[in-house]
Amino acid sequence: MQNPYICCGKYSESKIVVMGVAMCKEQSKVEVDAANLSLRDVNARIREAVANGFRVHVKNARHIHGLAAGLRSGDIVVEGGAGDYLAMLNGGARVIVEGDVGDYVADGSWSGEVIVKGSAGYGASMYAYGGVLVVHGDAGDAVGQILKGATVIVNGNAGSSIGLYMVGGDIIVVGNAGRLVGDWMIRGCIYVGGMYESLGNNAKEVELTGEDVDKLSKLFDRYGVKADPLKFKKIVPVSLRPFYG
Amino acid sequence: MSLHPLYAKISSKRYGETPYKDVWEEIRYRAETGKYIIRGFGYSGRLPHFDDLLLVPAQLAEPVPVDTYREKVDTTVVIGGGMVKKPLKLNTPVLIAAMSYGATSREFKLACAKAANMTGTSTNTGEGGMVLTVKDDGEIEYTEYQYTKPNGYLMVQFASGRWGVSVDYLLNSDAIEVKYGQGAKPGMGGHLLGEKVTEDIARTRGIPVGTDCLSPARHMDIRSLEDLKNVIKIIRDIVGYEKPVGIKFGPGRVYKDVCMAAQCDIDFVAVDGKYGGTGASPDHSIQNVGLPTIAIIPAADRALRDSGVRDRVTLIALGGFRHGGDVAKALALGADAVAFSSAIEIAAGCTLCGLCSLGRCAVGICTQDPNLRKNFGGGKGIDQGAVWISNYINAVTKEVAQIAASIGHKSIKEFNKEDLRAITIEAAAISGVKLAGLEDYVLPQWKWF
Repeated sequence: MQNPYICCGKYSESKIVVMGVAMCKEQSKVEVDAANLSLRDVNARIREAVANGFRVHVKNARHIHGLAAGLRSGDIVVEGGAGDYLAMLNGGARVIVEGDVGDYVADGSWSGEVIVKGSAGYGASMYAYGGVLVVHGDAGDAVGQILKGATVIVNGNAGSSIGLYMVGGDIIVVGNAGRLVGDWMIRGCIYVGGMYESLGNNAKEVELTGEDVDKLSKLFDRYGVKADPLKFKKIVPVSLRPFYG
Repeated sequence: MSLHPLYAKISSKRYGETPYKDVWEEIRYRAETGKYIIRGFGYSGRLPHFDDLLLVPAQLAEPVPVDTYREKVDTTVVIGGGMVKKPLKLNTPVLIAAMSYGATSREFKLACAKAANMTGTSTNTGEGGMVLTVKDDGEIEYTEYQYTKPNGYLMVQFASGRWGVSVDYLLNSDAIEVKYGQGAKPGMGGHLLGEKVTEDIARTRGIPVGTDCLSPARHMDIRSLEDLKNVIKIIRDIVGYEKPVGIKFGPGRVYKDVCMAAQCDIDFVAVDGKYGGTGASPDHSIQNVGLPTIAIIPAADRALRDSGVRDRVTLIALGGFRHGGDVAKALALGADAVAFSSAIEIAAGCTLCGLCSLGRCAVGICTQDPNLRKNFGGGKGIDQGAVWISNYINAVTKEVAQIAASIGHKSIKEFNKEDLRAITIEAAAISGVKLAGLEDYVLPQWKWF
């Protein structure tokens, strides 16, 4: 079997050992070929490499569900795509995916950044308390459901039921969104640059404020999103107590 | 036309015997407010329960009774033994059940944690996150976890609202329970009214003050058995394959639910029966949805046996436990351990006032009001509450040991269904226990369990 670690860059004498493989600090990058590895093996290698100060490049990880889950720091680049639950419960890592990801990317994250250059499946950034998820392609249904404080940017289109039960944070869809936008939302904001099919229960469209435009402008600049903030629609909750009030 | 003098009496008597008599106020409440009723505690009324079962003592026939005064009965329970690096090694089959911080006070939660340490058992965060302390320098202490040490354990819940669930939350725990439901409101998720979401609760749950806190009926990110398998794998991976991971179900299609759970590489499964308590639930769910505890324990036990995992998956039963007799009967029905909730609250001072959902609990348990919280432990605080709870758990554990001895068991692991007889047809039918006085089943299908 091919060694799952491939050292890159210039070799140095100052070696350390990561999962039994000699690595050099100066290289600053470890490659993990996940082709024949389990979740346990891949994430163990990522954690140990991050703990030793390496950036990590992962490839052939489409079959891994839970890749880079539960990291509190680190720079991870995923070549190709990744499976479901990428960067679940992210506590501060920066994860860049060159291709598409499966369902539930950045599920329950608290901090850090997840940048997906392709598209995302169902349920992007559900439950997330903090951090940023950027999907440069399209996202499926259920973006940001029960979002609690994170920022989610979908540079393409999003599906239906985005922001269901959300209690905080921002969902920004540059393209179009589907049905039931903000269904039963309690707090937080949803911004849609294109059209949406329908609003959900307890959701209403309101005028953008100067603060909204400023916030969107800064995010767009930072994450390379080409869109005019002034053209976005803002959706907020009608009642702050829609269930029992 | 004048009424006959007896007409009013007859009419009134008939009215008094209608099924509407006991619900007149409820109907008027709904009519005047347009709302359904949300309340605390649990099922009110009579269901087939542990009182419908009796234990069979040992006499001349083997096994003979154990002398509890000089022969020890083993009351220990291990959760996750052989599967994980750090299993829970409990001194008692009595655990403290999940009761959320938010529904209950900081003082009550910490008293439970301290009592777990004092008795060598486990307590459970419930679904509202963990009681934390933010120090002056901003550092966060996992106070609830720390209070259980060195002898106790903290199980943390991973429920459908994910309130307070982070990497650190999982790491500062001893076991993780993926919650699917609870006895009082199975299929309804969880509810915390905004009145109880104070600054501290809001910080713990990561939501604005005064927000109604809803845990949805389903895990939004688990839509299939494959998803559940993946989530459990990921949780195991995050905690370094060290801690037991299990699933808790409400009293629904328990056999099928547990058979599916058994495919997910779990260490324990918890099943909560209809008498299970709640801080706030719709009354129509509490009273009508879910099955009795004595019916679901044998179903869960059989599901684990049929799935071939009975030797490595611990079965924890919940729902209406009051004393050692109930515990012994649950163990005989197939459970390995039980978890108490309402009785723990009573041990800590609950007077059954019924104001749990409103946050006006006068004894400082189901409230976030700083003034009412001062009443906890009879005004003496966390230490007194912990003493009461630990005394109660110790007493119940002794009761279980004495009952086991009287049946002829030297270990609580020896309890089995032959230790029981039912005194009602209903209890026999739904729990698969033989009727008292009989050595065989009335109907062969009752033997299913």
